[in-house]
This record gives sequence, structure tokens and C-alpha cells, in this order.
Amino acid sequence: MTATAQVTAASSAATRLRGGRYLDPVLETMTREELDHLRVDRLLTSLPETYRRSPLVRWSWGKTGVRPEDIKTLADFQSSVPFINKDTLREYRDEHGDAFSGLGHAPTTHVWGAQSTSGTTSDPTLLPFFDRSRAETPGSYTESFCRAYWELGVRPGDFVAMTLFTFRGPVWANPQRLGATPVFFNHGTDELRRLVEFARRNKPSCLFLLSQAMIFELAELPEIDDPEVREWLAGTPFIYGGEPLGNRAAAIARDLGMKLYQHTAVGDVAVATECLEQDGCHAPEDQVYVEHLAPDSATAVAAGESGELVVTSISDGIPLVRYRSDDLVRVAWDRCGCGRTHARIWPVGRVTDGVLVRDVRVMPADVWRCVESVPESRSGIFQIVTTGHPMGRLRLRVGIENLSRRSESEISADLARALESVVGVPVDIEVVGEESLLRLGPPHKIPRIVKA
Amino acid sequence: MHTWMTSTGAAGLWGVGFLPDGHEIPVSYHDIEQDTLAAGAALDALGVPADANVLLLSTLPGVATVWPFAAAAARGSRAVYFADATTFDANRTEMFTRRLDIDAILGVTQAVVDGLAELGDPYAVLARARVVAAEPALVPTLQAHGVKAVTWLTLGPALALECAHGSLHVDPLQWEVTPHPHGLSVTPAPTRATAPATFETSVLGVPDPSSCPCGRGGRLTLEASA
Repeated sequence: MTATAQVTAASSAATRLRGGRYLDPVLETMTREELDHLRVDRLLTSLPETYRRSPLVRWSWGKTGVRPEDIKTLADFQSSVPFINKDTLREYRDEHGDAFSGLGHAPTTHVWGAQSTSGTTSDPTLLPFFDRSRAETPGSYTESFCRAYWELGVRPGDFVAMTLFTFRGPVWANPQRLGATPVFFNHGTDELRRLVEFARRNKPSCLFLLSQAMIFELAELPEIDDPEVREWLAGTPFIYGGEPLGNRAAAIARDLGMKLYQHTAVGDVAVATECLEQDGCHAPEDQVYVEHLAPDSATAVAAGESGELVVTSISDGIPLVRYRSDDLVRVAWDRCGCGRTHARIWPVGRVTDGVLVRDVRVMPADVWRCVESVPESRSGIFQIVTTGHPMGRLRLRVGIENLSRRSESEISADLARALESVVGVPVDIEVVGEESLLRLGPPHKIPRIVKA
Repeated sequence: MHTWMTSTGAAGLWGVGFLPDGHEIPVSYHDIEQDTLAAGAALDALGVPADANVLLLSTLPGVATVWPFAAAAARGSRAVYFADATTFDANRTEMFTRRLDIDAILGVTQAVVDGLAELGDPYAVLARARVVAAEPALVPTLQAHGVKAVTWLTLGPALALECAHGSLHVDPLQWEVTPHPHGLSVTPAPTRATAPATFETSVLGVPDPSSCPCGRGGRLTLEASA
């Protein structure tokens, strides 16, 4: 099928959606050639302003002697502009005593505060809010969120259930910008009954943000067999994020008829969410310049292969340039079945994920699969414990359900057998209550790799 | 009565929050505008400087009540930061107070103090801020530990905040507070999305019609057990 035919097919399939399928049909469906022209043009024209706004960028570029006027072409950008990563942010913060890591100081005429990142892998980064006239999330966030909500069917007058993990900033401004009304629930599983009761009466047209823990608890609710509840679950898009879903959570959601759409950050500059085709998360390339590079070099990685997501803000959002996100992703640059041309990304893991045990790189995803296979640890709650030195044995802390009738040694033995057969290295397992691990982080994202 | 529950043609609601007892609190854009004006006046009356860093703590269902304080800060020249009023997110409160010069923390609850206690000395963390607005039961203890604490009181969907002169104020244009033997009741102005409704609370106290040096009305005097 040609690209034009695909757009036509996708558009006709979406005519059932009030107001059409695309929030911004021109921007979202322009050809790859047009989009490349637009994003490179925005990249080159926005760099001087980003340089002016960001002490971090000026400091980073100053080390290599590059200045905005030196960057006249994409080739100049690719060959001369230095990378920034989390260590750069930390270094700037420590060297300059600037809590905002050179991304913008508050309060100022423009900057009215900041949200912080989750801090799962390092100290949280403060991400400034830039526009006092719109007390909202930064532009690129709002734009990409709104496109996703629209694609998933959210329309003016709808309710959107907000079950955010934490209260970090006005993420609810995104449905509000579409004319929808956010309804606020704690993410904690104890509020699920309230959510279900509200949903039965008011049918929120979307839910943001779902976690594994919520799926497990949903399945246990007495109301789950209520036909109205089942109808809402089966007819509503649920956006999930934080961590990939484990097999058990995915199976439960499937049994409940739930349609889950993945959501991921685009390097703290924007967000990407799956469309109805569920074939990758769309990154807003008119807001963020996406590069897909080998983790240890500036070499571009082929579409479909795993590489590091490197982002540059080309809007008025967080002023980061060539920010190495540490996120390993696969990327597709071709047109999606939904008709959109913007890059699709599939989170794979983190560059710094995994630990070396006897020269074998053990990834959390491998461990997860095994932990889930044992009944008492089926929730997939675990941590890999590292020593900071080469390890001869894999050390794990695994959360188990309190109701188990088997002894800890029996459970440990089962886990060790499952793990050793898959990862191929000897394993030491400390069995703990699930709750003790869940308390280490919000429910979506416990630290998977920790130091002893 | 849920006149706001339609899709097309729905009332222009800003959002729907919840009280801890599960009572739904619809909030309109008009409500937010009015509450933002009152929140700005409350921050001024508390003596929070115009260039202050404000840390706002809340649970998500409480956002519709506390957001006007963030909006007021954003519309003025202050900066605002957010953390959950929960035990597990207390580390974010600690992080903000360590990394930024926080002038005011609004919305400290027992859960936050408990979470900070798991990390170390909660009072040392809170004392980093110049003023801490906390739920009433915490205020004496915080003050005894050297924290400049004032009262932050949720009265159903309404919020009352102490001013620099030691008086607790609720916005009298938006909320009518009536004393009862079992506690204060709160009735929203008829223009609010929650109206018509009256919210019973277990907070013991009386409205005080006298004027306050801060220039605002809506004074409340709480009984010692509140």
C-alpha cells in the first residue's frame, strides 16, 4: 500500500471519531521529506535561542569552543555539537551550585517553578516550567499529550481519569487543553473502587496512568464482574508507563478486554504514546529533534535496531541539546498505519541497565520473566543488587506475596532454578515481603538495580 | 445532583477531585479563578515574599483544592514546586528543601512527617523553610521543634490558611462557615460547581466577624482540640 493510500485508509477508519482522527492533520501526517525539512529547519533556527536560554548548553559548548553561529547545517550540528547526559547535568549542578543544572533558574519573569524527574536511576533533575502566562507543562509535553489523547478518542466534554503516580506538576492541563475534564484519583490501589464507581456512572473516555499494580488489583475487585464495569474496561483506552508490563499483567488485562497503550518519555523533553494501531509510541518530531545513535558513539543506528535515544528540544520547552537520554529504543521513521509520519519508538531498556556476572550481561527483563514464573513472586517485584565490582554470582532481592504456604527456602530454590536455566549464572536470592520493596518507589517504578 | 455529567455540552469543569471520605468535588474554571485570587491574597497575608520559592504538597484528589495556590504563585512572581503529601514521596520534599531555598511549604500532613522521619529528622528538614503551613494537629509539635509552623486547614472542599497575624482565614466570598456542636459546616457560594451542598466537618470552632490586621475577612477561631 502506498503512503497516500495508507493515510486514506487510516482516515476512513477513523471517521467514527468526532472531529476526525488527527488533532493537527497537517503536522501529524506530512510526508517524511516535509517533516525532515521542518525539523531540521526548526533545529537550526532554535539553537541560538536555546543557547541563550540555557547556561548548561553555553557551558557545555564552551568546553569545545563551538558557538551557535558555527552551526549552519545539519552536518555542522552532527559533527560539532557536544552531547549532554545526566552526568553533565550533575557536574554542572555541583560545579555551579545550581539546583536547576543550568536549564533555567526560578523564579524569574518566565520561569514559574519546576517539576522533578522520578529519580529512579539518579538524583532527580529539576525541569523548569517556562511560561507564566500558561501555567501548564512545557509546550512539547502538552502538544504531544494532546495529540495522543485525541488519537485515543478524548474529545471536549469528556472525562479523563487521572491516576498519576505522583503529584509533580500540572499534567492534567493536557486534557484540559482539549476541553476535557480531568478526574483525580490517587494511584494507590485502595482508590480503585472509587475509580470503578465513577467510571460506571460517568464513563471517562481515557485513563492516564495505569501500572501493573493497578491491573493486579483491578482483577481482584468484586465489581470486576459487573457488566457495566467490564464494558467500560473493554471500551476505554488505558495509557500505561513507567515500566514495561510483565507477562502476568498483560495476560490479566487481555482477559479483562482492556486495551493498553504504552507511554514513554522522550528524553525529558517530550512524551510519546502509542496510537490506536499499537505499533510504537509516536514522538512529536516538530517539537523534539530525535537522533537514534549507538550508545558509545555518534553513529546513527539503523531503523529497527536498538540504539540510544538522543534528543534536542526544538520548541520552547526544556532547553536540552543532544541530550543522551540513557534510554535504549528501537525507532521506525516510516509512516504508521494510523497515517502519522512522526517517528515511532519502542522502549527496550536503559543503556546502563544490566549487570555483568561472570562476563554475562544480565538484563532486568530476563530476570523479570523468571521471577514471574514462580507463583509466590508472580507480581515481578525484584531488585538486582550490585557491588560495583565484577560479580561471580547474581544477587537478587525478590518480593513474595504474604499468603504463601511454602517456606522461603522452597521459593528461593524454585527461583534459583528458573533463573540459572535462563541467565546461566549462579544466583543468590534474598526473599522479602513485596511491601518492603514497593515502599522504595512509586508503584510503577521501583529501582530495579541497586547497590549493596 | 450531577448536572455536570454529560459529554457534549458538559459544564466547563476544570476538574473533579475527591475529599478523603470519597465525596466528589467538581470545580469549575470560574471556581479556580476565584480561588486563585483568594490564594494570592492568603500568600501575601502570610508574608510569603513576591520572589519566593513555594513547595506545595497534596494528594492528587486534593489537587482541585490546592491548585489555586500554584496558579497564584505562577501568575505573580513566585516559583512553585510539587510533591505528594504521602509517606513514600517525602523524599521529594526533602530533596526540594535541600536543593532550593524554599520560603514556604504548604500542606504538610502527618503522612509527610512520618515519611520524613523514616529518612531522618523531619523537623530539621521542615525547619529549612521560612514558614510551614501544616494541618492543625501538627502545628504545636512543629513549633516546639523550632519550625515556624502555621495552620493549614481543610474544611471539606475549602481551605483555610493562617495569616502573619495569627488568624485563620477562609475566603468568605466562596464559603459560608457555620458553627455546630459537632463541628463547622461549610456551604459553597451558589456560583460554585459543588453547590448546592453543605459539608459537615468535625472541626470545632467559630467564625470570627472581627476585622484582622491583614485586611481580610473570613476569620475562624478553632477550639483547642481541633
